[in-house]
Amino acid sequence: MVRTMKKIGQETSKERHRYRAFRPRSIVFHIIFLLITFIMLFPFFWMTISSFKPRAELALFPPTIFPKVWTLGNYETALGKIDFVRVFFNTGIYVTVKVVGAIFLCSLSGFVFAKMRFPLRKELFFVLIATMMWPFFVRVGPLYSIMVKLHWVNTYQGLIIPSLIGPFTFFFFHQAMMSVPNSLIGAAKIDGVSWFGIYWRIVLPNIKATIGATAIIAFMWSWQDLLWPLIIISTKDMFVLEMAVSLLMSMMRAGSESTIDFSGYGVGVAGATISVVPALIIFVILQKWFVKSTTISGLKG
Amino acid sequence: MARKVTKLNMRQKEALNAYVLLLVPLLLFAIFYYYPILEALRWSFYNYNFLAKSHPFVGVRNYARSLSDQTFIVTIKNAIYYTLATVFVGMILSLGMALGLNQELKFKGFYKVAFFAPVVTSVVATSIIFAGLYDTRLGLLNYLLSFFGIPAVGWITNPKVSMLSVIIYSLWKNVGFNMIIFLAGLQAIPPVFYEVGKVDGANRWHQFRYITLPLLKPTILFVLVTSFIRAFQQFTLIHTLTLGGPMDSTRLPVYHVWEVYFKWLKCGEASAQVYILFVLLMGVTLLYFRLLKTEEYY
Repeated sequence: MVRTMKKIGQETSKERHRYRAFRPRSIVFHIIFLLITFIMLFPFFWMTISSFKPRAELALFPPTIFPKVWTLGNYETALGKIDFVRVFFNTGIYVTVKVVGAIFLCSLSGFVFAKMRFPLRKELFFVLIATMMWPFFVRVGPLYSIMVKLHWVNTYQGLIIPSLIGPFTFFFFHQAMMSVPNSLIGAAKIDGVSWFGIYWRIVLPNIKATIGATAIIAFMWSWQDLLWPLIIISTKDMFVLEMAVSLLMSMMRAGSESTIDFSGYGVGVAGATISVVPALIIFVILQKWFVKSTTISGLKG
Repeated sequence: MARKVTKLNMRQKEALNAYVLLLVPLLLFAIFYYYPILEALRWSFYNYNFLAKSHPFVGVRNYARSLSDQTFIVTIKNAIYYTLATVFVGMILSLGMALGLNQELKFKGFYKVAFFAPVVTSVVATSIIFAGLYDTRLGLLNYLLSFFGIPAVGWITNPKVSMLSVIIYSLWKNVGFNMIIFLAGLQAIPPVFYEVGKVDGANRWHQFRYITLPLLKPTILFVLVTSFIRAFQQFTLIHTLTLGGPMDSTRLPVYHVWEVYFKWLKCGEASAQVYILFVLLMGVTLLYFRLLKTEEYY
């Protein structure tokens, strides 16, 4: 179909409709996307539904979809093995302190490097960025030995403090700081505001968007941390969420490597549901923020 | 003799302030970044052990041992397989989905949320779900396959298939995240370009190839590098789903290093391995940058 050379914007309303609401094509898209939606969400449905099935029913083949017998037994067992209240509390503290602390420290350092003059600024910046790029697994061993020396093993400090500064967060805030107009700062300087005051009262409110974006993403990833908590924490009362659910999973293993004792599966998925449902609820409520944060981090990156 | 009282001038005050404000961050950095990095390098040349009293110097023995250690080499092979598959297939999928969503479509918001949902949920929890779906005897996946007459697959018990199962899970979990990033990149392209293209007679394929793709290069590079780095450091998934998989078929580097450090306590060797991995990781990352930098002109 040859399109006549009309000036852009002068197409008749009929032609515009013909291209946009071209029915068959959008139906195809909807079908594809509904299929993808199903693939994405089905595991959650399966998890929830399985958590209410008793041991016997879980071992049935062919598997039933809706439970023939609804039971809370799995949840009872899961909650019996793990004090989820404590676990959520621990994880909450870990994630909150870590994220808030990281944002504070990285934005402050970003500010200092971006807006202040001092000797060795460029060199220090380079060293910082270069070293922070090193992946976590390089530091893991000696990090643990430091914790032992500080007697911080199995403590909140030990859990949180090593994770406080990260390269991406720092770089991100540095970039954000660069885009804050110098005139603002100059004016404040003339008014005699201290440097910290400038950071705290003038610059910070200007980068609310960056802070929000970083916070949400950091929150999301931190809830899923396992490696470091696994290393530093040794008693159940200090468990974070991923560790707790992981424990339930290991109880599910029938002895050898990766076969699963299916009758124990119910407890595993009960634990999984407990950890997933709050996350999904928060996600649905704050969905705009999640999408926005990811978007911003992608554009600035 | 009168002493001259010097007041600090503005610039010196600023410098002092800067260093004071940087005190805590720099201290944390020195203790938790700088020191461990150097210490790990030092450990790699010793027969180091957390508990042992003495740590004899062994030169490059740890490096030699690691490079001839079949288990360690396998982890690198697995890492290559895993990262290539998840990064490239994942990119194609998420870019495709983003392209599909980058138009006037009803329920677009709903789809975005649905596709992003796996990303926000716990890795352990979702691995548990998949472990059940993958089960050879009772898993839903094999049950569905049986309808098509396909015999049961040992998704996580068959070493030939296990990595594939891990990859499939990874894709499911992370595609939504990169999709949102691509969407952002797509929407940042001014519509003007497309309109000019249409005037020149460009069809959909031309539009994609000559307008979308070049302008999306920075985003693609970003997604490639971050996905690769994240995939290379994958730990939780392996620890939960396969424990290194049947016969080390899904053993990934970080999981392996974790075991060597904290289960087998061979810290010297682990440190050597860590540095070998680091060199690999940095090398590939630099390669990415070099590759995509050469086509900057458009």
